[in-house]
Amino acid sequence: MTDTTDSELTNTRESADHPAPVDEPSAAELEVESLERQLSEKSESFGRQATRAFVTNRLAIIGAVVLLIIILLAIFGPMMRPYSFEERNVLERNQGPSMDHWFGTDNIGRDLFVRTTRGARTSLVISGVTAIIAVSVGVVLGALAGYFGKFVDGSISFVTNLFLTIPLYAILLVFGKKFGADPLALSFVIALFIWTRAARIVRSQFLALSQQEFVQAARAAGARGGRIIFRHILPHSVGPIAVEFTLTAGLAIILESTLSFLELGVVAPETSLGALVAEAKGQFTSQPSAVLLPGMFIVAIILSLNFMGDGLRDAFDPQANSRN
Amino acid sequence: MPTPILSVSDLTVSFRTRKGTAEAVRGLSYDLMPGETLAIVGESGSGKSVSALALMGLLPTTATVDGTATFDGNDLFTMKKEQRRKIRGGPMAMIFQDPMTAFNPVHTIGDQLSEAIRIHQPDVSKGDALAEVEHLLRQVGVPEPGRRVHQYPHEFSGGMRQRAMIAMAIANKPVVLLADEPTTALDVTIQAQVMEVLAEAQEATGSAMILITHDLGLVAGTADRVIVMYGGRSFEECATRDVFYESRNPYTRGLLQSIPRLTDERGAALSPIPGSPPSIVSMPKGCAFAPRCVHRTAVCEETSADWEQIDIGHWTRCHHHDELPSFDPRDEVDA
Repeated sequence: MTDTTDSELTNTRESADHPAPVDEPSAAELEVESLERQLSEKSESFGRQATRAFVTNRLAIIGAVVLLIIILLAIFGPMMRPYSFEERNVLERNQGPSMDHWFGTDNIGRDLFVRTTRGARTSLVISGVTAIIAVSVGVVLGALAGYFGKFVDGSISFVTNLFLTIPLYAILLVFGKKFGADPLALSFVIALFIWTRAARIVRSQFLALSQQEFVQAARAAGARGGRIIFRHILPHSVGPIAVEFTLTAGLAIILESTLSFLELGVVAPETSLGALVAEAKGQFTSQPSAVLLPGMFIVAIILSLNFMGDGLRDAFDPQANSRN
Repeated sequence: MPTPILSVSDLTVSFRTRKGTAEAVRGLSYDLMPGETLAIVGESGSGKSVSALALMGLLPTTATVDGTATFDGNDLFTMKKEQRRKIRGGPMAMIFQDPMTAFNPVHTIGDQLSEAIRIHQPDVSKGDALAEVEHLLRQVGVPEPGRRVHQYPHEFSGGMRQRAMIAMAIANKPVVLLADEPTTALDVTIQAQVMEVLAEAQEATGSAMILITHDLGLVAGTADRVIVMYGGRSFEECATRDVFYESRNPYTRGLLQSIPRLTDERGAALSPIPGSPPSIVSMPKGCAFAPRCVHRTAVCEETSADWEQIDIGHWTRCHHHDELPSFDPRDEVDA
């Protein structure tokens, strides 16, 4: 069967004025491929389809690769150099990047490559923990509100709106002074005030999905609320939740950096990307790399997260996948 | 006289809306005997689907349900939530109109059908449930069930999906099957096949069926009895064979006359019922059908007629049922 298809394709190519390059699949070929996939014995699961859609998204992959590199640097970077993050060497202070100190040294002679990777580690841990807490709380509350409606929705929506009225930065400045020194406590504090976004998104997802006929059919089959929420509705919200996770992680990095920059977050000798920028801000004209390098880490992390978020949103759209 | 398996009495469903309370079903009563097929026929908005959803307890929270529905000796509307949940999908199962949207696209057909089995029979293992699903799919005429159980709903055609839906509904050997427009979303060529599968499935389980449809042609082939609904009320109830030639209700007659027939003269115009059904938020004061009825008189506009028994097993709701001319839907439009 493949023989005839190939010869047919060759014929179309020859008749064209500009024959397509051989290594580029033609539209017909793609169609045959997708047909064959449909006819193949093994059905593709939803997760597999989503993975395939994600890995073919170039920006998403770039984001994932960059983030992976930064994570690897955060884990192994401090071990790559023979310095500790708090080791001072006054003779070598305020140096620019060199072979000995890849990112230079700060004003008390600490190696900035070690400190930047160490700071990235702190920032990533805070952002990851914050996102996990905030999104988990948001998903649970949003799902309950959207699925059960009525009184449950009323109370949860009230609390959500209450949290949204709190001026985020004002309250974080107050809490940051008290809890900022401990990264885990800082994560909890940030999560406490940004779970509302995930809750609102999941609530609206559940409101819409609860009206879908397959949810009604599941109810008609005698399924309990928990089963309907977790087995029938939640898989359809995975996309928006994944996107929200990446955005929340990005927001957490920004908030943490801001707090640390204002010296209300992570305190010396421990460091974070925001704290590094803050420490170096005085030398911006004499030693711009000390500000720019941790700053670039922040930007790279947030951009990667956003690219991945976009890719995840497209990949996890069940409507888009079931069409082919 | 056997006892009915389901006895609905004075069922009223109303929705709170911004424009006030809308009564979608107004005092519907009927008995369903074990094993029989009862068709509920009506236009959109007549309350036929809402009455079925009320029985299943699937109406949105804005709906208020009154009346009683005695199922197997217990009132569905007053029993505990958990008891009601156990009835859903167990002794009382529903087949939905659109098989395209009634399956969850993220799970395989096999997963969803075995889930339906395991909800009601938790001690059945996953493997056994899947084997049972294969058996059920074969029973409803899905070819290669062993391969099909691992496929997703979008890999099924509409007809195959509706067959799978029927398999899911009979998975727990229901006593009552509610089929809400089971063939409306399907191609005409598939409709007859699916109705046949449905009839076979009903026979295999011995269940009674409430067939909700707007298609009187479908009724003729499958139902034992018919209830014609209009504006939330039952307008006529009789044996299926009587509805076509012995109808004592102007609305039923209007419906029959609007069906095209093979014996119709080529090019002859159909005779639709003039006007459109009333809005449920602003029901006419008298008979709901009066504004469109050729037989209406002053009394029709004042009060709604009573639900009257005019023969054994033949009920109608019309002030003038005994004055209506004899009727054969093949005749030209009378009056």
